[in-house]
Amino acid sequence: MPMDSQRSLTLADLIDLELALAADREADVAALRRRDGDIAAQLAATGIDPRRTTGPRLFLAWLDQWRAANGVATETSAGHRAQQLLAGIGLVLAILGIALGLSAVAGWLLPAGGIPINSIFFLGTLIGLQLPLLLLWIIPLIPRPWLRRIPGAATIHWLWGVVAQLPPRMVGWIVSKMSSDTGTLLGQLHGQYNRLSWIYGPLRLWLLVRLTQVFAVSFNLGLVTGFVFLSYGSDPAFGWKSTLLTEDQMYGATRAIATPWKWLPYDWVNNPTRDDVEHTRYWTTVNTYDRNMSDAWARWWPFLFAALTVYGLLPRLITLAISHWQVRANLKSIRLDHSEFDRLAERLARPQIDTQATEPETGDAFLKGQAASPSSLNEAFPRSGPILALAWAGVQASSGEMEQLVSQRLGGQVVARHTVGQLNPQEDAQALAQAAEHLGGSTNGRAALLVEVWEPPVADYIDFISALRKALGRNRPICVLLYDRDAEGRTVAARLSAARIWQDRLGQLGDPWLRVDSLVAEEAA
Amino acid sequence: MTSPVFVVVGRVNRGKSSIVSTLAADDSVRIDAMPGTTVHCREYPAVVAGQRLYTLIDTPGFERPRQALAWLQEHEGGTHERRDVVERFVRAHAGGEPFRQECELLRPILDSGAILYVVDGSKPPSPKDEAEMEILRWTARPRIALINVIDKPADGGSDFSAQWRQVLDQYFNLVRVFDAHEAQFEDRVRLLRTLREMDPQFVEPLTKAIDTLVEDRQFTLHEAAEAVADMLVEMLSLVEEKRLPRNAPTATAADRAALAQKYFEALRRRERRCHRQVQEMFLHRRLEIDEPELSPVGEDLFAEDTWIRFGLSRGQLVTAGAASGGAAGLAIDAAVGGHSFLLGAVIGTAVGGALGWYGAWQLPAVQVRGIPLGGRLLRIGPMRSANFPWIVLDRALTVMDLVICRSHAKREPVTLPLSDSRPGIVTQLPRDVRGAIETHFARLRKSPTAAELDTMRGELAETIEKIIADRHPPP
Repeated sequence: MPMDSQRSLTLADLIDLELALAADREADVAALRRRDGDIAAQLAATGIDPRRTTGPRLFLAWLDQWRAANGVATETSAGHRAQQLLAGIGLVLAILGIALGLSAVAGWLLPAGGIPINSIFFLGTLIGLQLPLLLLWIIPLIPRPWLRRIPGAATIHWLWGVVAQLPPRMVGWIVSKMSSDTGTLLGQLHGQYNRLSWIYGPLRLWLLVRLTQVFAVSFNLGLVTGFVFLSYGSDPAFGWKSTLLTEDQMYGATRAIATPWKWLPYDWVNNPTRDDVEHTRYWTTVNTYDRNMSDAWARWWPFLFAALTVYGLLPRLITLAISHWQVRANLKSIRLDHSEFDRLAERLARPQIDTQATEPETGDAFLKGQAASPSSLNEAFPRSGPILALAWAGVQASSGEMEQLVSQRLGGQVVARHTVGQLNPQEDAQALAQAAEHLGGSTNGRAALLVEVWEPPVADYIDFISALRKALGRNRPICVLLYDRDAEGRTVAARLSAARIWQDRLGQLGDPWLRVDSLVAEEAA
Repeated sequence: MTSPVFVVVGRVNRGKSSIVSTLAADDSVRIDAMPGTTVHCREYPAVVAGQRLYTLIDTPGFERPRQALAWLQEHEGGTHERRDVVERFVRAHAGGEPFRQECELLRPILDSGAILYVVDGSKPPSPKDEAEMEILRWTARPRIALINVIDKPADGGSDFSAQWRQVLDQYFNLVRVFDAHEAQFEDRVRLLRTLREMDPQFVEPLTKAIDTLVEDRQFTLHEAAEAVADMLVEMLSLVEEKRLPRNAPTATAADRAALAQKYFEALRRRERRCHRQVQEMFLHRRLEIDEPELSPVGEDLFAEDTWIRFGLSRGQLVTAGAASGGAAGLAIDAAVGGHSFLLGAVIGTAVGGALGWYGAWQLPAVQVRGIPLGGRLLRIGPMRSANFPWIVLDRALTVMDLVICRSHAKREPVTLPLSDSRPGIVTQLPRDVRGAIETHFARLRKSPTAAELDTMRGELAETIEKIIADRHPPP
């Protein structure tokens, strides 16, 4: 995925980042390390050193890599969908605003009939009512220390805080009623937001304000366009009536209202003139109009158009621009430094070292799976007859002790003794040849092989036992006696765990006259 | 930069895989006493930022060393061509019996691997070991022997290290004792430093590897401290609520019990998750720590025994509470320019101490609360008990100690607490450290805002990290 490391943080990015970090809270530590280690390496390859880069630049670069690794296109990410949802709400509000604006102005212009429209009420309802709302909007912008000097401003500020709490509570309620993916996504966003409201509170406020200003601009746009188009297709007459105002006062008021545009180099900026004001005054009860003054009735139109534009549309365009700028400024100034961002930065900055195996261990136990049949002296084994004792090199018992222990264990006398397993394997062959000779004439002779129980029964032993079987014949009893010693060097019963290994391994040979047991019986020890 | 390869060779059941497991910090290495279970080499590369600094290779053990040596001696033409004979041996027997394992382990050595020969120091050397050592000498590669005393004298075993040294010195450039089962991070680093001495070419990659490992260790300690701080903050601020139906006359005992159970279970779950995370951070993924579920006599988080064995004593709680309250009172005295005549400090100390005394073992109970818009709510939490966070911290520090000190070669499960008579770690902390932690806990008990929680989390993690650093200083 192409990465623009210089781009600014968008709302979609912020939402995606927070959702990713929220998911990380439950994630496996090793998986996170691996993932962020890989991302750090990729960032380094693109010239971003995670140890030297901080803030949004680092996290945006991380997010791009994270999206690429998870196959999430920017256009389909949760953040983008949430941003689209906001844009959709904005669009609905815009359509609604235009429709309401058109309706409001149509309500004044269409049913006019033969009665002139009272400009005082016209402006009062369409513009005058908006001014307090505009004031409400301005108050949150005033720095807190200044608020104390404006009577009632602090209360309005507090009211704004309360109002700002309503949308998230409503979202919480709506989300609780949803069960779809969207509900889950919104629920995550909502929960995440509540946890981090201390960071994102101002941004949320300005996002909401921007939506309200989209509606306000659309409403005023509807008013202005409706005023223009309905005046073309109709002939509304504008005048004024008031019990309390004199014509001079009314003229003075129109001049004051026209202050913002009266310097323009057009003739209409002087409308309505003093005469127009005088001639367009009417009384409901008298119900008479000076129908010959049709120009004067129409000369109110540019004045009203300018008033709608300057006092209705223009301020809202400004507030929309300010809201938009505030959203951008908040996004730009977000420090992304709460604890989860700190941890992500640490994971990216930590040394990427891996010392573990690259591949899982395969079950390559070629000896396993064969049924082992442990055989001990408890099973049938002749208890009398001459014994040929073969001791593997390393068995540290003396000759006398060894002969005595073997006799005790197997019964009968040791008639010959050889050492096998010396460095030169040729010596084994000689011992085997002599062994066959020693037991050749005996029908009940037996062979005992002494091995150190702590030695693993490797192939060297197996080869020798097989060769011994071959030399002595199929039915000659052979016993492998396991030698063990304690810390003082005394011969003791073989430890069970090691003996079990010997029994398992030799049991795999399937030799019916092969026994494996401890040189010293457990009870004797 | 040359990346050295260390081929770990030796007989089955001599601690070869244990040493690999410890050096690679990998508890997935199979340790099997049955010979022939491993017939292939397994690589453990140490990769830093995509660069391979060194490689450990675990090999199958020698199966027929005497016969292999006999073959070599039979085909030897002179001392100068011994290495060539070994190569011929591998070529002649590659891929089949009887020397499958010997070929498998000799191949990486001949491919310029350095040798780590492992012997069991609790067993005496015997003539057959000579065959293995002689074959390894014929390869003419750098060699080090590691004496691994498996059955220690303290456990009824023997120590033949001295005898082994006399034998091994004849065949190896370096001989070291390395207890794979007890080796800690420091021992691992020490061994890597020793391996550096085997060849001048190994110095650069191994120095880089050691430096990175040490740095990584610091990151891990920091990460673990943060995980514990996270857990403490979340556990101390946890609240469970349940809205009562509008038509319900009152909260039943079953409702209260269910909510209380949910609350305590959530606390247990959070603690287990933290312990698991700490294990994973120190790469002890397969370690089983036995923390039995709630039972009257078990070691569960809320079992009586746990509350006695972990955490602080009542006296220590009073001291910590008084210190924390006194500090807060002193801050007030300072704020009023000393006009309070230290009354703030005195009152703070008294209140803090009293809270430590009376609130030590008090668990939260389910309460019924009204909702402003109508209806009622069952609510339990947050935890106000003074000793609770100390118990949780103590258990977390115990798990940390366990995984920090534990060799990756060990396989047996562990039960908490480690010993009946062992005093809690927190009781051994210096008084000022206990006071600082109690200050954090006291602030956490005051239902702070999310912003304050985030700050406290960082501060608490910092304090915990200092405790761990004191207990486990860098090598």
